[in-house]
Amino acid sequence: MSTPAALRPAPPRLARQVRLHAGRQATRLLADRAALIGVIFAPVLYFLGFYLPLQGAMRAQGINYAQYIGPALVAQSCIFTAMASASALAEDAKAGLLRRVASMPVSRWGPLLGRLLVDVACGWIGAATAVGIAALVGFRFATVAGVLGFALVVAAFTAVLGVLFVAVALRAADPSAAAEALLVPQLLMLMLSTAFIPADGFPAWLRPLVLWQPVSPVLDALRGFATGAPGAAALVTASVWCVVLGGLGAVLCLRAPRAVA
Amino acid sequence: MRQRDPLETPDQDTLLRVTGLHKSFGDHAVLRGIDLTLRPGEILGVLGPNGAGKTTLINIVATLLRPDAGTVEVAGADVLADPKVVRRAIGVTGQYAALDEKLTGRENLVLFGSLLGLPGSAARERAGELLGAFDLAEAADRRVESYSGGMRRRIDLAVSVVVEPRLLILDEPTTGLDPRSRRMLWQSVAELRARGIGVLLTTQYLEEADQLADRIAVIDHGVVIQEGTAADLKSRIGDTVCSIVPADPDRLDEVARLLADLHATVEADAGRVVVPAPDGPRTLAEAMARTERGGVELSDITLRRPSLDEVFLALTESSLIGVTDTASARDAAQGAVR
Amino acid sequence: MTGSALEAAGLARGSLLQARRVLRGARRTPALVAQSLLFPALLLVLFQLVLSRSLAAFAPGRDAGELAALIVLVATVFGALVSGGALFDEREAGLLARFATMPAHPGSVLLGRVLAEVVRVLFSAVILLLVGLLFGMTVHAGPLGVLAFLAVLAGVAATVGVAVSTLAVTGATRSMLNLLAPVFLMLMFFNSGFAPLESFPAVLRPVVAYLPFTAGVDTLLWCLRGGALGFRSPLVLVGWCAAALAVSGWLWSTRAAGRISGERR
Repeated sequence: MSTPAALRPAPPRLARQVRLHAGRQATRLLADRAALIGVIFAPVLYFLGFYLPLQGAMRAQGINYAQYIGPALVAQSCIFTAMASASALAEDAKAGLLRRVASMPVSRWGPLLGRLLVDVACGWIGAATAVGIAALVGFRFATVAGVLGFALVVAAFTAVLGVLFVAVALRAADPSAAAEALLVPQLLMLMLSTAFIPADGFPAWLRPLVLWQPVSPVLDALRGFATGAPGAAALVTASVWCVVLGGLGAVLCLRAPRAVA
Repeated sequence: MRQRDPLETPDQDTLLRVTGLHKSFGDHAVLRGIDLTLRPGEILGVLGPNGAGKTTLINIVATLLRPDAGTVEVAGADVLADPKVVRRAIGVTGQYAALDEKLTGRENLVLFGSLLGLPGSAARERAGELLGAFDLAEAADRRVESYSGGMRRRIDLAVSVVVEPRLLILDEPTTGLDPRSRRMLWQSVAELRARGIGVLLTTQYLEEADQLADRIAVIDHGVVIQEGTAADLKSRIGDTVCSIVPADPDRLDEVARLLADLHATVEADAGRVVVPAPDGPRTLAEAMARTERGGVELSDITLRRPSLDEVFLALTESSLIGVTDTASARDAAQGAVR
Repeated sequence: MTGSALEAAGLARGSLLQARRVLRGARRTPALVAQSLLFPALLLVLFQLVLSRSLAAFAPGRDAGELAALIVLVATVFGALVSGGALFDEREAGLLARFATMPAHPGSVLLGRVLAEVVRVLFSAVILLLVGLLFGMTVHAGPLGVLAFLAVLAGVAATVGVAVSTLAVTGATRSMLNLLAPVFLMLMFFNSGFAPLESFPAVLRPVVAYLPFTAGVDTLLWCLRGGALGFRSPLVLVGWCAAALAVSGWLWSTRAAGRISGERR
């Protein structure tokens, strides 16, 4: 009474599949030196680019720019990681890998979840670099709990953006062009937020946008954790945005054609 | 005093003469002594698997690469000494349609015609002429990036003859094309030959070399291992082979032994023995009879056209490296298999 | 008509044909237009919005001019890099190889591309200048100043065009071009156009003063506004361009010979 030899063994559980995908993505990332360097050094570059030219002007306004800009660099790193992620998954789609996975009796969420794990790890690495470099000029964490909260926000933000960007890239007609096209909105989001200057540095008509867009509350949460106690408003707003964006991303992914995701 | 233009006093006998051509990339010797000749109005097909050196040969004749040793003369002009003269005599088209994709078919033709010296109106006129001849008139004013594969090859070919060359170099011109487009291209090339243009053609397809080429040179590992007409090559292995697959792959050698006098070749990784079948069904019957007498059970036996690999296997059974003389190569090959 | 009876296009005619081809292609690639024109304009607007108040409080007397000049310069350089990227694609596709098998003058490919670049830059410079004026940039000089402004930009565009073309032709890959991006990004921040020199840490000020974009911004503004010139900026700018051309020339002479074909094996 033997089972037919032709049937392949049952696919492993989801957790294992995700780990396998994550492992593959991690190996790929480690082999992709350009991306690695990007993750590690992008925060450095942005720091140099914004801190050094502006620190004098900011000090004149009474702002400790190092403490202020640290979270901005972290946010930028999260965004950068998410974009690289979308780009890599778009490559996978183009190479037909996702279609192959979809035609196998394994979970179609495997590649995405695996990628997200790697993204969160990259987000932490980038954040560590950003914080490290900002610490050289005065950035400080007030409490240990603050560090944990900080890390949590980083993970959540990176994951949420990752899902969203990936969803956008996958549903676009040309995934890799779409991944590139995300550059502009990303820049907009970052600049029109409290990342580099406080809200009252903006003209009055822009301030509402600056205050309510998703990046600003995340930044406020990060700053709050760094100085010990984030404001409740910031935390709530940031969480709401994360849920909304993450949910949107997940829905878009779900509705993507099976061969793609 | 004006220099004598080699093209003005053409060597009527030889359009392309390659002698002792060597080329290496680092340690890797790609061409190890190639000799070829080509006359006007003749199509020479260079046949070989990937890595045999075909593209390197093409690039050298097209003045894109410099040879390490040997000489290459196009219409009497040496590619090293007079590359500019050579370039006036050649037209090149390759696997990748090397055109400006953002321009229309017509614009590409006018551009290349102008670059080659046609005055504006003549270039436009010539473009119209070629668009008609290559059946591209409808798509003429659409961008090349919107063309299908077959159309791209046709416009590529048209551009390479916008000013008629003496020698046309085709590098795997029909790779990836559907059969209909392939035949259309062959027809265009045959028409060019009828105008006295010499064609150097590289291909992986036996059928293409068979249909188009007047003579075929088989290249492997950087040397010409066989040269002759299509009929010569076919007589070597014939255009039908019998493929025998024993049920037990361990008995391949036994099958080969049973059919040794039929010039059997073992393809171990495909698990089969291949025998040239000039007598078609009779060879198949003979093979079946022999294997049955020998007690070897077969899982498959078919008649089919030989793959290029099989032609090569037959041709390279013995070490024929360096032997380029047609007659002695054939004799040596026959002797080795027997 | 056979090849031997015709005179192939010389350098002048060949370059014009090539330039026309490149421009035509650029016109038909909207992404290119967007990247080299819209993106810098957007940056100009963004930076202006974000930074102007903070910087105005710090360094009164600064108007939108510094930023506009910077963005125009960035657009020029970045645009040249982007359209130079197309050259890499052409090499890969074998188009350069085809040009190399033709008897037309080989320099026409490069010269034509540089010509096309200059035309593109002049076009976008005028537009970006208008945007700058909208934001309150002041222009004191007359038509001569504007001409000088455009001439400087043309020179920079030509230099970058030559540099990128040399890279493409001597066998660099597209990803090597991407490695330049961080360098470029840094240069974009480390200049007097982005923030006044006084805002930089004192240690860095002398370095920043002599970086190419500072020299470029200063020179451009001097064309438009006259006034005193700090740090001999036009000379510094010429120096940077000359260095770039020298490196290109060296690369060309040591590597170009076998490379135009972009041989694929």
